[in-house]
Amino acid sequence: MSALLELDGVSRHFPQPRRGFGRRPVLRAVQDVSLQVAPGEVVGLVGESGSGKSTLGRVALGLLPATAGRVRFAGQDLAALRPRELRALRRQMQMVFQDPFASLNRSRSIGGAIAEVLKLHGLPHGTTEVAAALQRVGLEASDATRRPRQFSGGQRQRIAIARALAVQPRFLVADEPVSALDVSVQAGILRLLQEQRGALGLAMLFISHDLTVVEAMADRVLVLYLGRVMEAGPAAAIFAAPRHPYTAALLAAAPGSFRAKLDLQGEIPSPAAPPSGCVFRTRCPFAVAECTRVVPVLRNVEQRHAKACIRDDLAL
Amino acid sequence: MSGAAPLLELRALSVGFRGGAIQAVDGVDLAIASGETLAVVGESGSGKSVTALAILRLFGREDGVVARGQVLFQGEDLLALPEAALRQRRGRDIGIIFQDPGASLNPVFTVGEQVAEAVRRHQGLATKPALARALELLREVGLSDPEARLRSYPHQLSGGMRQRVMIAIALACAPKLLIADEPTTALDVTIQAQILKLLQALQARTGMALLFITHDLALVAEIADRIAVMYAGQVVESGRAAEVLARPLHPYTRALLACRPHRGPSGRVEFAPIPGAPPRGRFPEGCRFAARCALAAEGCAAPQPLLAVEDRATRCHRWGLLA
Repeated sequence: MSALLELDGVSRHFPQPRRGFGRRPVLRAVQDVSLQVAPGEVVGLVGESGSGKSTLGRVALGLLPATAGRVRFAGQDLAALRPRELRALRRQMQMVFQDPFASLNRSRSIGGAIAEVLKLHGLPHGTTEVAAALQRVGLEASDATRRPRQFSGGQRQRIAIARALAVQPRFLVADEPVSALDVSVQAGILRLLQEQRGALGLAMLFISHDLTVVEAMADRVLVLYLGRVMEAGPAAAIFAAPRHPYTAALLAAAPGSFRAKLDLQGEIPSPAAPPSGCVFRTRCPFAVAECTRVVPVLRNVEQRHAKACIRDDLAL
Repeated sequence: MSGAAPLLELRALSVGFRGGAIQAVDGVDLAIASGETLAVVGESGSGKSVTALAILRLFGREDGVVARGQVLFQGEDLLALPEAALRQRRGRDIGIIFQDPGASLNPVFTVGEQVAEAVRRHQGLATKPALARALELLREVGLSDPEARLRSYPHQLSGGMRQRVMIAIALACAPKLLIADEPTTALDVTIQAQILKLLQALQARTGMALLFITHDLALVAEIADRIAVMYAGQVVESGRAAEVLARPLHPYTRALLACRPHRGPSGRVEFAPIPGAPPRGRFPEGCRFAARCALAAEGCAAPQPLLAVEDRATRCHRWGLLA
């Protein structure tokens, strides 16, 4: 299988303001993540706020350079490309954000916003193309002249999706695309993304803190915690039988879950000062002394299903 | 509702904006007893939050708000109360927390000052004992390292911690009723679970009533004794939480349940969007959900009263098709 997107040992660090003398502290937002997305495949990225999901999504698109490791899209190393080449590649990689209120320019008509993206990539950008882009997401051609404020949150998210898909990308990063919406509106957006995936053969990195939503959308899932992969595998296997305590805790915390409660104490620590050893150990109900010393390697527990936990004796 | 008079009772509450040109809440009847949790569930624009705000008359003057009906708290109509007397009820008898704790806290005062201020105002304590009580409250709401947090500013706390601080402020006066308007919507699932657990524990200890407002039916299963589902300003279904979730009697409730991804009979994850959008501003004469309803028939064009079905209620004359 040749991957469309390939991340190999990717890290992204952010330098922090220096405090006093000594070395400048760094915030390790993403640490040593490897990941492949095949053409047409949907990979779900889950984890709490501060887990590095959004940073990883931006690194995957080349919007943020990786501090270490390699990002390849369609075989091309993003770091080795000139700006002009990167821009050409960007047509194939698009992004949809959580907040459709912030991602649209309020003083410009939505048709204008879509035409602008088409023009930027040197594509035909007349009323026909704009109308096609709007109709694709269930809006009317006549909506093109209206401004963002005339639309509801769900409709605005449709407009953001129309804009992203107008250039016919092969890969979409959807960063919490339904988190700001009502449950009833979420379902419509999820169905739209599913349909477009089928119609365009779109591959996706689907980022969400809501596991039920990821379960509905993803073929494979990566569970992140403090920038590291805790567990990765087929969605069906992860949701039916999680192998990492953090995954199990996330699943149990989802409202309406039938899984036995596995309460996590406290909150995710600051990525500027992650715990030694296993980064999850400070909240893990199963942590043992060794967890403070070794950083667990991500190892296969089944074919294509891996976890980063030293304990194999847990019934999760 | 068994025997005892409810703590809070809404009778035919209607709220309109711009002098009544926009009807947000239309003839809502609800009741909550002490120690009970009632969840009001609905989409944006259903009137659920306006209902909560109307209980405390928390509206700006510019809104041109027209509220009719009664809000009976321990038998006294809050809608008829003068502003000064109502201010007493707010905070002392009734606490409220909102979705965005960041927006509700003052960024230029420390957490300790803000919690102590609430204690001082409602219990008339001096500065020192108020601070001591504030520390106690922060401990009660499970804030980690409460001594240090007293001196923290809101921006130094995470969303979950800020919501705990808001709960501490709401509890400062031991309210009989706590209104929680989407208190966990902005939080991670793990923190959401912690906050729900905290609210339940506090309720068990203090016996306060909890009015929980949310758009997420899945959440309701965790916390509510009873549910009222709102749509386009009206209650369309109400009853015991477990019964409503297991066997909805209104097509809208059933559609809301089907929206959320869930494992279907085939073992696959399914979800079904509701076609169309809720009516806004002007409502049809008949059933307000009919335009989006799979069960709509001729009789739905007539006004739909709330029908009693055993100890439940539904605003659908075709409920028999669902049961």
